[in-house]
Amino acid sequence: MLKRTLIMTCAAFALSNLFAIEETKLSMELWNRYTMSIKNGNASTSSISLERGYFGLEPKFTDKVKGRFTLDFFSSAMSVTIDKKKTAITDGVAIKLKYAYLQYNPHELLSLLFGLQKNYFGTIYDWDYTTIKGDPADIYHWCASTDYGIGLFSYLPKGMGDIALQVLNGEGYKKSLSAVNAYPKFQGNLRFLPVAGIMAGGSFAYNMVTPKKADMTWVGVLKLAFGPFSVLGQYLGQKNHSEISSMVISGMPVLSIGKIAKNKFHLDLTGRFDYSDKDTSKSNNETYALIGGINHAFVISSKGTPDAWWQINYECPDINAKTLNHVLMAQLRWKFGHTLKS
Amino acid sequence: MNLIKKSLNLMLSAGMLFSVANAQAVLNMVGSTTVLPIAQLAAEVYMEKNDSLKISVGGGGSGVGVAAIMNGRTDIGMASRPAQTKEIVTAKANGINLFENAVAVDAITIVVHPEVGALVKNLTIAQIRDIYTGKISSWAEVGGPKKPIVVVSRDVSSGTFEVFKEKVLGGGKVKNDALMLASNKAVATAVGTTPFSIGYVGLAFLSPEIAAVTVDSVESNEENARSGKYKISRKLYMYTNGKPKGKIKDFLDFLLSAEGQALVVKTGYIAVK
Repeated sequence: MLKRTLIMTCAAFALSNLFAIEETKLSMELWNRYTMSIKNGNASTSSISLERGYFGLEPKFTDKVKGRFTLDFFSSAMSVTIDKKKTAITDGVAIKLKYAYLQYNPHELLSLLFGLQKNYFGTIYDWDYTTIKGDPADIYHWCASTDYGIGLFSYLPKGMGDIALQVLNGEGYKKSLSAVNAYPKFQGNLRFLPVAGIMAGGSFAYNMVTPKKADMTWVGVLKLAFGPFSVLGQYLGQKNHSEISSMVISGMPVLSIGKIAKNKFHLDLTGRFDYSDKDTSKSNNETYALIGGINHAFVISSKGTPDAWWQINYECPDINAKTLNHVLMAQLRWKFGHTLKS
Repeated sequence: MNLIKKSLNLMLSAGMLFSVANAQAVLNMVGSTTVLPIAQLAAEVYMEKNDSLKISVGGGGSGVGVAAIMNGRTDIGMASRPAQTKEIVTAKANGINLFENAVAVDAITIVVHPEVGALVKNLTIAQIRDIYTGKISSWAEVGGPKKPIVVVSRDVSSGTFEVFKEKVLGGGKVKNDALMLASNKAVATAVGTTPFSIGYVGLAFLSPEIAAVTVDSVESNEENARSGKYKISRKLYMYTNGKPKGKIKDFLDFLLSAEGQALVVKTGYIAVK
């Protein structure tokens, strides 16, 4: 109900301002991926897919009112959730709604968000897929990247960081109607940047499952970035409504060879380690995932951001498993866009 | 044996020549088209004095200048507006310290086609806002001929537009049929060749083909821009990653020296020192 009301409000506002749009950004980003999985010594997957195909519209009505609408077209083997049932793609393509929100900025630092918006939790809201694998909170299913709700986001003065408070459905962007319970999720996030190269922060989410039970999830984040080297560390914890406690520790170092070579080329070496324990009260259910990869950008915009780049990742999902499994992924990401001015 | 020696000598010489060719240091600057004339002239003069340094200068707008520094794409990012909070936060998270070096002062000057300039000598901030937002559509409403006003503006991604928007438009939106152009030069040319037009440019782009009007009866000149009496003035910046060092510092020291600031004045802007 909350979702419908929010979308109706956004749509009504957008329509009423249709002829007052100052500019509209159009954008497209595509991820073509090859995946090979080896399980128990045999290749279980070897396929090429369109993992993401984001088509975005960002109308700017005035300096204070903007909107964002993004559809995700994909042809991967990912299944979609409809009424709590997972349904495989049968027509070779599917569409998901990723963003649909209206943003009101009463002050240059402050934004109020209404609709399907970013989930300001940990690093999921600005995760740029330095490794092909998603944000830890996302892949361990503790938090979806976007969700329906109302949010307040503000930068701290003098670029000292940012803060966000949100009331959300709690089930993420893939679920709607009867898959969404009647109880909201409350969330807060704070990031602090005392000096360039040091970022520390954390988030806390209280997701009500019943009037008396809730999933509580928290994360601490530390990022250090100096010269060509950066490392991102995260500690995530959860105590769910069944009183089961879980934890994840993730570390991601990145070495920019391109920066060392004074931007003559754009090559990054990436690594990642994820330690996960699904139930801290029990032993022998931990996993240790290891990832190594290369990112190479071969089309760079005038702003210095990549417009087309390759990513190659090797992942061992659990280095402590009796039989090691392996995943090899190669991904071509490319994007383009245009701003229409009225 | 001699052949091997000769070959080695040749290879060594070639290598040395290659090293010498590559020894020429390069300084890259991109960004604001407003700051561009200063950068071009300063680079030209500085390279004459330092033949070991090659300076590459490019435009693109203030947004490109700041983003290029944030992404380690350039040594100096030129901007005609201060860096935004969002840019500062993103840069800091990636270990980049957007360091602000003010190199000049500019007064955004309101210009009109000379035919209009013969009659309209002054506009108030409120009148300019109303012209740009479409509330005033005829020159007759501000003492000019009974002709519709042709509004010329910078495009929304330019730093000049952002300053104009903040200091003149307030929360207002430029009327839909305004000509949105990509550079100061394009605006100056359009106003000079389009009868009954109005635009705004940096001081360096004034020419006999266009007529400057006073704003709230204050002329856009050095004295009024420095004192703050002229309301639509701003500083021009060259952003660096942290406090400038090495060849970047040497160049900026030159630009901020008496000789460098004389070049700023020569391009039509106001010295910051």
